[in-house]
Amino acid sequence: MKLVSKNIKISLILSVLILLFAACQELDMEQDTGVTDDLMWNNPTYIDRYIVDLISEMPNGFAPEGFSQGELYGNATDEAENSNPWASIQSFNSGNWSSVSHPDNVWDKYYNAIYKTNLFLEETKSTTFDTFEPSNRQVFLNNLADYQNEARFLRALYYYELIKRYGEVVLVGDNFVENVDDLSNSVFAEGRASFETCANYIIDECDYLIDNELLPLLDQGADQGRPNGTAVKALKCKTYLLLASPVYNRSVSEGSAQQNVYWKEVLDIAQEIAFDRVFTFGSYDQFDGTSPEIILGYRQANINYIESANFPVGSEGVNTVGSTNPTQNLVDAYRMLNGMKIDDPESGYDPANPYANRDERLLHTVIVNGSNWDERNTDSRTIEIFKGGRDGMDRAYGTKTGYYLRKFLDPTLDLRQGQASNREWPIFRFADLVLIWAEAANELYGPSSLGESYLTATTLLNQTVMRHGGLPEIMLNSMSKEEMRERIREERFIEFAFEDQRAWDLRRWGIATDVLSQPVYKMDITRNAGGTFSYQKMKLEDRYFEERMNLYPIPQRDVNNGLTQNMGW
Amino acid sequence: MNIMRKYINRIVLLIISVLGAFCGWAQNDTLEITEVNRINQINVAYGLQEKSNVSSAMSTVSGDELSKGAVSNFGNTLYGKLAGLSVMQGAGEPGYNSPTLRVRGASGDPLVLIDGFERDLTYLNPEEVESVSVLKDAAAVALYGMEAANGAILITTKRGRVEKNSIDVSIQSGLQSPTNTIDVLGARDYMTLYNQAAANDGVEAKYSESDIAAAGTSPMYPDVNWYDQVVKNAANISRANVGVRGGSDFIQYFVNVGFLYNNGMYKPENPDMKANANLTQLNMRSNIDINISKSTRFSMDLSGMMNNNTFPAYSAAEIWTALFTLPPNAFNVTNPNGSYGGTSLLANNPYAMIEYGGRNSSVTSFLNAGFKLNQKLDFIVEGLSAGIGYVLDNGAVNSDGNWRYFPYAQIGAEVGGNYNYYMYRESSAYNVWSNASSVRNNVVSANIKYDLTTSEKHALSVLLRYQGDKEYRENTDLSPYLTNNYGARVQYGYADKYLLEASASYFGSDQYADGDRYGFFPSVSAAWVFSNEDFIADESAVKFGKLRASYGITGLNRYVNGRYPYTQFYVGGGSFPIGTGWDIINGIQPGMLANSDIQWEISKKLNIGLDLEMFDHLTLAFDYFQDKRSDVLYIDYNHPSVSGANLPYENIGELTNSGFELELGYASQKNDFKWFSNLVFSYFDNTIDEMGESLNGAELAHLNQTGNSVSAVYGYQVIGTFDTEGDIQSSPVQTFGSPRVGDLKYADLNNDQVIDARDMTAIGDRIGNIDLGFNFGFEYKGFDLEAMLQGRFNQDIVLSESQLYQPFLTGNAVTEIVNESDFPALTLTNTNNYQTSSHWVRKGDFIKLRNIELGYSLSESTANRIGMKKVRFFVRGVNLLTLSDWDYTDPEFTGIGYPPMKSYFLGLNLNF
Repeated sequence: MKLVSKNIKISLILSVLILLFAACQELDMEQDTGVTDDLMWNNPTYIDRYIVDLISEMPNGFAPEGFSQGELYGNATDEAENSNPWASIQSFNSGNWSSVSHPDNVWDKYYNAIYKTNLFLEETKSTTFDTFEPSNRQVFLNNLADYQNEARFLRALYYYELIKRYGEVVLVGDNFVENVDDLSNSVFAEGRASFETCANYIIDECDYLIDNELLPLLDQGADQGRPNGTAVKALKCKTYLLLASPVYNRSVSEGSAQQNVYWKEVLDIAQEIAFDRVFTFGSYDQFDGTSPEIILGYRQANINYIESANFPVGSEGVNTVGSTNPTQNLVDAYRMLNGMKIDDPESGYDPANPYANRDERLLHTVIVNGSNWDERNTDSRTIEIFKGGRDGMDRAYGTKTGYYLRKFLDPTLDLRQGQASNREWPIFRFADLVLIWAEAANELYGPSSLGESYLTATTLLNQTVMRHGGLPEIMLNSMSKEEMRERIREERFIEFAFEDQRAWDLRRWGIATDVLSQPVYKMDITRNAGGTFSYQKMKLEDRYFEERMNLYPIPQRDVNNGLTQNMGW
Repeated sequence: MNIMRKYINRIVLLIISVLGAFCGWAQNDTLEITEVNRINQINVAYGLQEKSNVSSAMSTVSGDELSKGAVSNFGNTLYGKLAGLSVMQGAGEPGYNSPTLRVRGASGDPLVLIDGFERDLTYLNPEEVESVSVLKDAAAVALYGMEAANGAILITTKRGRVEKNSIDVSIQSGLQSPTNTIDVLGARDYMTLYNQAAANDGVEAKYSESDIAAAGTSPMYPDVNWYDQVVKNAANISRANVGVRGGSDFIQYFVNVGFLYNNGMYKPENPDMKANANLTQLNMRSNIDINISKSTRFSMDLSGMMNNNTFPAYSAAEIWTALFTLPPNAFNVTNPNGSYGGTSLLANNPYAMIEYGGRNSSVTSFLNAGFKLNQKLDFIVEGLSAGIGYVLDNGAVNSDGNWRYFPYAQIGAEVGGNYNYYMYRESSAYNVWSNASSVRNNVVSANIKYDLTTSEKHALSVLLRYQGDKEYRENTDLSPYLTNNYGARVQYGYADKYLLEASASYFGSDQYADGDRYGFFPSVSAAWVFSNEDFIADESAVKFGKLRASYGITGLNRYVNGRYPYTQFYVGGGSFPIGTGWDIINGIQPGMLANSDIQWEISKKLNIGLDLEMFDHLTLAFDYFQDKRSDVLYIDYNHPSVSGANLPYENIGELTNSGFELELGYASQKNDFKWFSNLVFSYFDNTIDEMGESLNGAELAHLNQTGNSVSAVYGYQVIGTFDTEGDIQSSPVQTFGSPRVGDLKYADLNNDQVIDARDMTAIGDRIGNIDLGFNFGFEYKGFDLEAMLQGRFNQDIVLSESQLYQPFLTGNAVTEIVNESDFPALTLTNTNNYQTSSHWVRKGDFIKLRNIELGYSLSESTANRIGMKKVRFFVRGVNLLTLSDWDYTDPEFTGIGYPPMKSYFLGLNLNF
């Protein structure tokens, strides 16, 4: 009897225990809380959006990685000084950048973009869209094939942006990462490939797309804004340009036969782009997305951050990110309309009226004291950069150099109302390819002979000098090869001011150490009693640039993990 | 959203009416008044225990004690009260003044449990709290599985008792003002120093002698003290609380209603709506226990809160930044023509922001309901019982706002007694927005308990329990957060001398991959009550003595990787306009790389303690602890970054915390004079042993964070200032702008003749590792006085993190800092001196008088005459005094923002 009751007791306890445990819940995800692998790679909309993300990883010079929006990279060269002493771009000018702290750390950005590209190429190998109607399926598959080609171009572009800064980099090929274990793939630990290997990888990728005509030469209609076949050629051209530079490619020397081989490649592909007649010259300073010059652009719909940061300080709605203030060094580089440099005694340069009769591009690029400013298209006023003026240097957040940026800006915007407009950052511009062609022709055949070029270096140079600058024609046989080289370099400084070419041109030419370590100058402006102005050129600040800075330092983390550091870092 | 609000309102009303009925009914019962003495019982995880039998490490304080420091946020009552708990003060804005709580130097929040379930302590009233315990060692938190590796704070609210109905009323009202007034430069000083900075930079002086002399004399030359213009001297704070407590054998109840009003410090009044920072809060609680039968007990705990918080539409950060950094000579508060002052760039007139900019408000409400049913099963086995519980917590935040720009004008030249103006912005209607969010938490629990009641010598207690949590943290959550917790605890005691306890939890969380979801977390503890041994004589000085030791493994279920880190998700990426219409397409990209091996973090805790009571007056508790963390989630930077993946958190980190705590208490009475004092001292030391850092080699080893404290500050070591140009030339190149004579000179730690980020190293520690609390008081013939001091030591303040200490770079700065004799050369643009460096690291040690209270109680006979059991008047001060080397600001609040407050109260306690 006692035994029975004990059993009852035990079974009671057990049943309570069972009840207890039956009450417990499963720990599974109740519902998909996001896009997982299963959903991602068979959904044409998601795949569309994935490639858009890759496109958005292209360099956007209006808001470079690591800087505030509107903080142009030109602030890190002799083109400009930023008005905000705390802007991170200032680190370049003071020398406060290193393997440990780097304001333009695109290493991670572009390797991340390469990872995303490789993942896309790998995962879409097995994409069949077999849950869709056959008719739709074919459309989706065709789009996917285009996207895969675009992805390969974009990956090559990311590598170009890396080698432009770091020189030799790690090539990861098509290796992809799906999970934590893939991180130990030995390819990631293989170390940096030689510069030629890296450049040739980019060129091979471009050749694959060019030779098989996989991308249309012009992006148009519903595809406007996507990478096109001309951009692939431009990328190939610019990669050869780096190969021809002894600073980047230490296996060539100045004037060597091998260098000429590279120059010839540069010339051929630049010439081919011109012969395609898809892109051509347009008016200067046209960045609203309609320029026939922009081969590849970073499009930004409805923005005003460039204006908010860079409008003259007396305008309404400007913010305090810091404006890009062009230097006196840049302004002095613009010639007189008669084609003479301002320090030429014959030039007619008037120090009391310094901005008159100058290269037409000056006032398209720089706002000077006395510039006309149609603020909001309604309020026409004169820019006052003199001491005490509305936009003066002595005002809080006023210009530090005596100038404001004009290029890229849309002065019609009413920032008070949050108005915005479309802007397109030139990644590859037709004029760039023409001047590269001129540079190659000069190096190979001198300024005035054709050689195997369709046009002479002089003729090519005149394209921008006359069209955009309004300067008189440069006559054939008017200068030596060396003089021509200098003239092209000067032209690139002017033509591409603030287009993020300067920093890389100077490095490529091997003169960055000389130029970027020079002090930058400003213009002090005082209004005289009679309403005239006194202009006085003054030193603004010393700049710090050492030879090691020709290449960026590899991030210390990767050096600690085994990569070789660049020289001097 | 409205439906939710209505729903909550209705439930709150329902509760009130039900409670009213209950109270009235219970009062009619005939009662036998018994004094329940709970002093020797304290709350432990899922139960009560005799204090003398506890073998784990914990500290406890009663709610009555906490009410003496009560202001408006429950967290702020805890300063210095509990050994091992650091309470770090935050801002003072009503509704945004929660402190940060840390147990034993852990770097995350402790688990906070109110009546056994995870809940927010911010809105509690101290009057409804029975006790607060901090659980510190593995044995104390074992049953919480992977939730309490950072310690736990266990709050128990008051419950009914079998006694005659008693009503406690407390009313208090007073004034608040900032603990420290920050003093920034006036216009003349500002302009004079500005000119000096310009001279140092080689730039022409901006202000003429006559400009400087004219400051403040006309609207053209403003001299504005923005703080005085915008901030009041004092604001009102009032609290009221009514608690009803009592019960019969059948039903016991505790019902409490609390009200709080806390006004903000802003002077300007918006004519359209009240835009001042302002908080009104209503709390309600009813804890009811019903003995349905002799062996069945049902408990129903309901608590609700409605908190209406308003604040200016412009954020506190914008307002306070403007107050302290606007140049005093920049513009007028209002111009002579009545328009607000401003300039094209300085559009941040704080007066206008408050008076014109509009208001935001948020109504936070919650209703927490807990039900428990406990059945004694003595008919099966004597001492056996089982219980089930269900918790349903609902919370909602309904916010809305009215916001608009204010038009303002910049004053121009004077023309015949009038001024020209540049007008900026146009007046506009308010932009209206609203938002609603809600949270929900369901908890199911069940337990079986056994207590051995039949033995004299042996004490045995066994607990088995299950708890399942299902938490919706946002109304947009598709999947709730799910956890399961199976726990077991066995306590054994022999002759009240030897105590042994083992507990374990088998805990599962849904954030881990299938098959890896559950972890096992065991702990053991033992204690020896040596004072009960025969060799300790009864008349010995040692009245009670106990040695304790515990060891165990607990986990931490930290959500750092997103919701389901074991799965690869694709998330929003960059966007780009495609097509002739420039239609923006939003990109999609892989999120953090999936880590299918991810697990909880592990904490192995060792604790050794001693409890002593001596000479009838003195109590002492000492604890030494060591907390070894492993599997801590860090990103492993030893992976090559060229893989490009978004590296996931992995279980790779290791940390060590160790330290000790000491509590000393003394209480004595002589005739009518009673006095007491308590001292609480805590110390910890923490070290990162491994954090996935890719370690630098010898020449850059000073950069490594591994081996330092978690809260270390990194910066440059200052080795002096440059005396001469020659000194600058012969020193390593400093890369923060060309240095000048008088600028700070930094140590070249890697000897490369360049000072850059590679020369940074640990130069301080943000979090003090010594906490001190000292509480003392006396009672004499109806008078009582109590004061509480709290201090923290080894704490550094990093001034380079705030614009307040950088004159002219963004505007105005603190007067005292500019007047420091070793302030480096003033500058307008040079950033050399304002790098994070040892010059800007200051000692932030402090002792604060957290509260002082003087009370007077009417004698019992007088009280009875007016129908009361007890009548007490009091004056109370909170945060009245701060002792610190750092006195430019509150040492715990050195940046820009709504400062912490001190408060003065007059109040009344009634009991009838």
